[in-house]
Amino acid sequence: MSAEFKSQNGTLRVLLCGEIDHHTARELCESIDLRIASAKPQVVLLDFSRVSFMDSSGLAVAVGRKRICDKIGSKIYIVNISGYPEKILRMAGADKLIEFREDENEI
Amino acid sequence: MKSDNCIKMEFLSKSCNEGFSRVAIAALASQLDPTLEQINEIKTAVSEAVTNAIVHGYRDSIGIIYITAKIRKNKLTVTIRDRGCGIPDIEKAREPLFTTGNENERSGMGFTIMESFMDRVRVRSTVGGGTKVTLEKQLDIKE
Repeated sequence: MSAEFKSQNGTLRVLLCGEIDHHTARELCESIDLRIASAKPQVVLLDFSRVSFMDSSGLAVAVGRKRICDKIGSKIYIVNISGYPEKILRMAGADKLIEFREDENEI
Repeated sequence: MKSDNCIKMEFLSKSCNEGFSRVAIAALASQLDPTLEQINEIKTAVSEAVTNAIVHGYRDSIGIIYITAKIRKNKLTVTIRDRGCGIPDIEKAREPLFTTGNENERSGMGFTIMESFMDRVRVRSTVGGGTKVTLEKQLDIKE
């Protein structure tokens, strides 16, 4: 699991790559939180297009980042999610907390 | 039955073994020719149970996690057992969003996911003695 970051015009894209489980989630959250704290983006896009597996740790990654973004006044969206990761997030009700968006602003 | 099979494994409650354990069970289940979705469901449920044993069962210590998995008459049964601290209130632990872990890292949805993805989830636990989670899924039904 790794995260790739792209920053442009106040938008931070976090491209999640690989398997999200409890083992990989802690380091992943730390790296995302550090980047959010330093970049102070207006918008964070959590991009799930390259997630090959996730369990409820993926839900904690999304909901935990939402809390952090709320604290600093940033907006957060989930983009490019489909298949199994989407099923887990929707089943757990994450779509009621965080907006799922089509990926309109390519950065 | 030609396809009947059984495996047993023991491993340390280190989080790096979560991936190993779910892949091993998925490999056994694949002998029943499941759909990709069923394989994902099994991997996720096993991952949740093993994570619970690591995070809650053994908390800040390292212990041994025991898994037995069998396939019989196209049904997969997986038992995940630890000798950790046990669960004082199983009903409470199974409630959605309930967690005793760090709320920015844990979601409290582990048991809910296991129940959604498997046909049956049984939990037996003794405080101070450990926890046994049994997951069952019939795999001859194609969804």
